[in-house]
Amino acid sequence: MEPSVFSDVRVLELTGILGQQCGKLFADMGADVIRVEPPGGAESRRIGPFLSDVPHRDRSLSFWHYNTSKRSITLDLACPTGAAIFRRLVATTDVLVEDQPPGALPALGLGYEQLQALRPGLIMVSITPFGQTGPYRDLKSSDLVSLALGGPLWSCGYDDHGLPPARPYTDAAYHIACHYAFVGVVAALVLRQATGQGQYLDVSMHEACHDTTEGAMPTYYFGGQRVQRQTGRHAAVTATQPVLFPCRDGKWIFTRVPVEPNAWEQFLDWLDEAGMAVDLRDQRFSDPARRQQEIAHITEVLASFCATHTADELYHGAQRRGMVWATVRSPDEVVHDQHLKARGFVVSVEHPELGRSFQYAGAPYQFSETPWAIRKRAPLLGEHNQEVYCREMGFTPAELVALSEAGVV
Amino acid sequence: MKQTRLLEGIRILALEQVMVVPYATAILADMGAEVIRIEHPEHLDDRRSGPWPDNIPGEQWWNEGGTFAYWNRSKKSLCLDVYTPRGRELFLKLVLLSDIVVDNFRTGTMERLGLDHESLANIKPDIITLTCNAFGSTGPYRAYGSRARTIDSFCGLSSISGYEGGPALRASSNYMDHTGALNNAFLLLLAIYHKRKTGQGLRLDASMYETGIQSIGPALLEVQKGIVQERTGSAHPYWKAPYNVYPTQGTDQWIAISVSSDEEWARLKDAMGQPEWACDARLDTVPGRWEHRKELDRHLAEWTSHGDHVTQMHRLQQHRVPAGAVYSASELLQDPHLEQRGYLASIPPEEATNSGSRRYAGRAFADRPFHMPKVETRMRPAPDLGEHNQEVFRGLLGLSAQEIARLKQEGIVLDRPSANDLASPPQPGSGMGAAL
Repeated sequence: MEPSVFSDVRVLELTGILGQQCGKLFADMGADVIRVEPPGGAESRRIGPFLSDVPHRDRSLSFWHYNTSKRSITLDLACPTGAAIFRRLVATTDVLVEDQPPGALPALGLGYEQLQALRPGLIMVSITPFGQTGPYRDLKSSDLVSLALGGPLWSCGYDDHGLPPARPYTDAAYHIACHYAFVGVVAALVLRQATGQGQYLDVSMHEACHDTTEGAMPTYYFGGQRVQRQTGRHAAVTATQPVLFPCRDGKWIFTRVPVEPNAWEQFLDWLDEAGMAVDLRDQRFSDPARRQQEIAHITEVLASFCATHTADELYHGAQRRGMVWATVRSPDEVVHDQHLKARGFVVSVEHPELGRSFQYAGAPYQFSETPWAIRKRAPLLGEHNQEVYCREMGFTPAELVALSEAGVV
Repeated sequence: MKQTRLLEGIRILALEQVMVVPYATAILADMGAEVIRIEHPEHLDDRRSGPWPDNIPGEQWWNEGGTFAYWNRSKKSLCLDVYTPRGRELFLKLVLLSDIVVDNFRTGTMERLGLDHESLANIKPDIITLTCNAFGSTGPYRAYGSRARTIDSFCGLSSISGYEGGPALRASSNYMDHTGALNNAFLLLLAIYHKRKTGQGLRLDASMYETGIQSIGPALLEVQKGIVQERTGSAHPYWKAPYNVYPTQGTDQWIAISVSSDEEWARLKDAMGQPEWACDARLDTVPGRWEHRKELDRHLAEWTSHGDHVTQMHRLQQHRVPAGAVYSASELLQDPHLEQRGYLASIPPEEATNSGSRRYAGRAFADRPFHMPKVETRMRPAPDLGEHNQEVFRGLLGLSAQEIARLKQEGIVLDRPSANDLASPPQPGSGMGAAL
């Protein structure tokens, strides 16, 4: 494999559920990411579903996804011996990623100042629900709670406001926080490259969520208006027309009426081919402003058109005409997508202990050099204890056994 | 602490629109990179999309839009038609003086313009290019387009979001544009790191579709286990209960509550004053709460509706139960936590140096959610259209005043929208969503 830009970067990861994606972003880019887990295993190993429905710390599918290309060691930081070993590890580390409650690491003598003394260029990033300061600092959160309090949830849901807003699937809040953390850490690496200086980054999931509200914030901060959630479309100040319609084959299509002059003509030609343009050729629709006024009627025509075509016909038909529509597809359809096959996006990752391979989501970005790659499946708990403690840190096998018996690793 | 202008001296030429690339380069511009937006006077969608200060597009509406200001702050604007031979030639001269060229055109556009990575690397071997488009530059869908919301649908995210029995949900807030933009930001930083380490440029290709799929990575593994994901509203898909969004006093006011352990459940019971329905042994275990989650949700919704969302949140948080009011923008603007952390930024009136910022100075901007003590990040106004024409053409390329005048005459360089655009200004109140 080609060398990676981060092949000389070592990352220690001390995370639960919130921060683990930040480590993945590094690991799949080729950094040496060591996940330091409590002897019982990280919290995220307990998230179902599990392979064959057998709950086990090495069988969580969610853990598998978020921990590719990492190594795992176990270490009890709460005991002095464990903390001392951790300090030795930090002395060889470039980046420490952690998501413990504010104050928890300093209480163990592992705060940034203390660790930086061992490794002057250390970059440390704390990813927490509300950051290290401010009145909410110690409040409890979760993905859902952060999406609510940070603003994204307000814009997600249905036209019927008797129903509560609904979160999108995925741990979106955790992802957003980790993405921002990663941007910050890479910037910190650029600084360190030039000056040798490390620094401490305080990342707040609340703020990261606030940033991920698209038009909602400027609409209020600039114009003083609040957007309202709508089924399947942008939250907006004034209600807009439906865009999601059922197709002949029972699938759904995400559409948009093309109001621009050229696109409008193409759209009409397409409707005409099916004999379904109804009255849209009337003079009154030739003016774009007028089309906007008559959008409800146009939307009805569009809905009937969708109902008589399959989702695939509509998707490709629209895209070939330059219209950006999309089929609503299930994850199952995505796994078998021809486009992804042609690009080699879905990658097969071997799980040797199971004698099987599984298909994983691959690179969302491609490089001419320094490739993204899943280098290995997620580590088994403590899989790299011997490699790290004995081969790299110089503990003897007997010492490792003693540490293990003492419950330190 | 001394702060470094980290990216000072890095010049980025940006052929960018909407958000997925503009927001990325804005993050770099705040860190000191010189980002020059190359704008076409007839493609002003970004500048038309509002929202407007006080809801009124002003005389120079093309410089005043809110999303434009958010995603293009701290940049420069060069209004140059790169589709003309002379425009392209000037662009290439700028490439020789730049480090990075970014675009989010459809696949094939940069090739047609002769501005693809190979063409640029021929004249500037260490150039870094970033292309971000819908489906990547290979594969059968490569020429297809997307917007963040169509990616939600196509990547599998929408189909598993929404209420049981209801339609697919859009992961509103353009989650894909945000995530794509953050990917683009770190890709550019990584490329700078790589170049300083090796002296080499890089070609970066980002696909929005594949970014979307990464975001539901665990669902792909579940498919292989034979799990068919159902929509569950805000409820947790597997085991956490109570975990949902509940009504509170007031119209369209809600609170999110998530309980993930027996201890948190015990604390929730305390917070509610141990009501009879909750003191039920069946609910004392994770599997028990999961099995009876609908009943639990009903009872809890009854309890939450006896107070307003903020009061209920603090009542629960005092007992260390994860709970959060569903905040809208108006509440976030007054959020004491954001205020105390100095999170919201604005362009101070004394730094409002152009026509756009004179209208929106003092209004809140979302700042970055990571605090970096040693890196200066500062927002400056978004550029007026063509504001930096003179600076770039004279200062950088050394063109004479006459040459610039001729380019203007020929319509290759402009600093005002086209006659068509001027004839149809955006309407008061128009903004995000209205035209979408």
